[in-house]
Amino acid sequence: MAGLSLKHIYKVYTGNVTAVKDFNLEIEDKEFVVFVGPSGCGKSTTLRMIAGLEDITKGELYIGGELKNDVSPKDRDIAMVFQNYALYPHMTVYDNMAFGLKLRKTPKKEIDEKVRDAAKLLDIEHLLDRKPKALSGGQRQRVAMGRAIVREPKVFLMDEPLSNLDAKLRVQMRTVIAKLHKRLETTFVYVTHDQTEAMTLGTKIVVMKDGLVQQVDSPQQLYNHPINLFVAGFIGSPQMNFIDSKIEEQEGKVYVTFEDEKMPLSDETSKIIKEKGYVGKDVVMGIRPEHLDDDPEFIAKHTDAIISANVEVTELMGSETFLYLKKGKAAFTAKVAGTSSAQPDDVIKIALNPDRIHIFDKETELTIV
Amino acid sequence: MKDIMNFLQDLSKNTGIKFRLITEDGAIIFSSESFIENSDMIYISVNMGSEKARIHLEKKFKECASILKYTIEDKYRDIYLKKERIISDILDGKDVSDEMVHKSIAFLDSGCNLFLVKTKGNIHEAIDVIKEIYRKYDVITMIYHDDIIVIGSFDEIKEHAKAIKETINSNLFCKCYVSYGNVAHNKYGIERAFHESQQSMMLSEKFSVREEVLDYNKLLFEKIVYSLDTKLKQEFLNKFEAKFNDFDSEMISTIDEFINCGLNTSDAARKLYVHRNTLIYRLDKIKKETGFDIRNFREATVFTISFLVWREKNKQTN
Repeated sequence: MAGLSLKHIYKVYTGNVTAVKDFNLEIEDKEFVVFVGPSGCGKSTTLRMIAGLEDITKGELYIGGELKNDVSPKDRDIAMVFQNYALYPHMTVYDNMAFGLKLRKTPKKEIDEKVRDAAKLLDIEHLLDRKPKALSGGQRQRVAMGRAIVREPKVFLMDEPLSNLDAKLRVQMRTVIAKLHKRLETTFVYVTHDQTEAMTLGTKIVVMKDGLVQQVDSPQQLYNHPINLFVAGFIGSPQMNFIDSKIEEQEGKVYVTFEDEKMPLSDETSKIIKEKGYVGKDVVMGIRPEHLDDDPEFIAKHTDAIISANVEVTELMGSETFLYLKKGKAAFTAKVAGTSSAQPDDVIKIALNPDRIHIFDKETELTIV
Repeated sequence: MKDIMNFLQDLSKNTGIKFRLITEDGAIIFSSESFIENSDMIYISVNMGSEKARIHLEKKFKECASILKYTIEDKYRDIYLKKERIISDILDGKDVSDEMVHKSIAFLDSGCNLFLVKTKGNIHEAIDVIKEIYRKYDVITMIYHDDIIVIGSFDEIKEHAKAIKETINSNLFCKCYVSYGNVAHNKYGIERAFHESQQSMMLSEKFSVREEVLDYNKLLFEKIVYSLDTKLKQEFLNKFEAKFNDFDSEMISTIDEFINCGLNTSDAARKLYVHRNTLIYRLDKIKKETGFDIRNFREATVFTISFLVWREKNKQTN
């Protein structure tokens, strides 16, 4: 078990293409860190640099306090689970899991113990004699994980391990991975493009874009306090609504205005807005769909933050409904109760929770408050 | 492995010497009929290629130990090194008799596959890993020039290629590319399969193919573009180069993935991690910028060739 430290890491390909820029991160022992971001953001490249599959162009990588840049990758005591995992078609599940250990000349008895322990942990004991072609996708993925587990590495690296599974299996395997982390008490570094996976698995999330770290934080902090427009939009589903707005001050009170609507901001928010000199400036207002509601009780609580909007589409998801709304040029989504009576073409009243409004600088896209 | 097993069986039967042959980590390679392990045994170390094994022999056969060791090692060399030498001669274009080829490489009659493995790590470590994968199987694994060649009869060829690649990746943590061509049934087939695999590697590098497992038969467009004459390539470039240069990396990866997914919008959206509507928006943008609707097969064909010509010119290497 070990922590990791990445200091000023760069990956530059020939042709001067920089895939990762000045990546800095401290990963504590036993932490579950998730790298998340859109395709091409540098998350997999960073993971592959930790594994040694990609050379580090510049910067320092420490594992367990030791500089590992020049240590042969196979001696870094890590195990990796890949997106396109491949099992040996001619070997049984048992042999597939035992292979890495056999290669390291581990005694037979020890191999047997480790394989059976891992199989029990992954609930695949009954599959040990089967060949890969007799397994389902989820079972194959468990075997691939089993192969990494038996090696008892200091650090587990997982590169989108669930992306080839269907939606239902992914949810199941997410739980398996979370349990594994708890049981193995080892450092996990996990790459995904899926923010739900990141939020549910990670104790620390690294949001990346264009090779740059945007924010490193706990899932809760990322959700509640995104550092910029990109993080705010990337974390949360459906994504946060962004509305071009303006900050105005009337009789000492600060408002965010858009279309013909005027939302008062809380005293605390107003103070920050004023201090930072945003009164009279164009900004982007952000509000998550779950912080808009057409419930009469909610509306009654927030009488100064009510807007009327056209319902364009409704999507009943069971316990909740997504309302796709339009107010002038502004389009936004509300996540309301499944019992909502709103129908397409209705003009409805909906309230915003003023305490959950985010304000972003229109030019820098950084969070103001 | 079958050859050596048959030999050991005959050796034990014809000489009456009962023995057991065991690998270093305790796996039994061969055991004579009614052989019983007891406290009165001697153990002799034998070299089987780069691996070590152990003969378990009753003390009463002590006098035969040296000759038994020599015979097994010699037969192993004869069977395996002979096969490697034959393959090497075939690939070097030397004259090798059909009879010798078919006699030495028994699985050739039923058809076999050849994998070409390129690794950026230590080639000797890599070949040891591959040999371990196919330890109990009749598979020829050898170094030829600076690459590894694996020849055998494989049922699920792609799965085997993927497994070889991943084993090198996850055990040696170095980059690895595996290519393969068509099935071989004779020495000419082996030569052809090798050249197809080599060509796949060359095309992959030239056109920045992202896959690390390359099937020669799937690189059709790359082959077509490679064979185009310079004048025709320039014509494509004149028409498309500026437009492709203007696209950002997001659009380039969209084009790449959409083509890779066989123009399937849902698959490409899933692989690009974007909503299907986002992909459709991007495809519309491509149509607006280039005049080509790549959802249409005919237009996509011309577009793909142009894209590969551009790729060839603007190749990025790691």
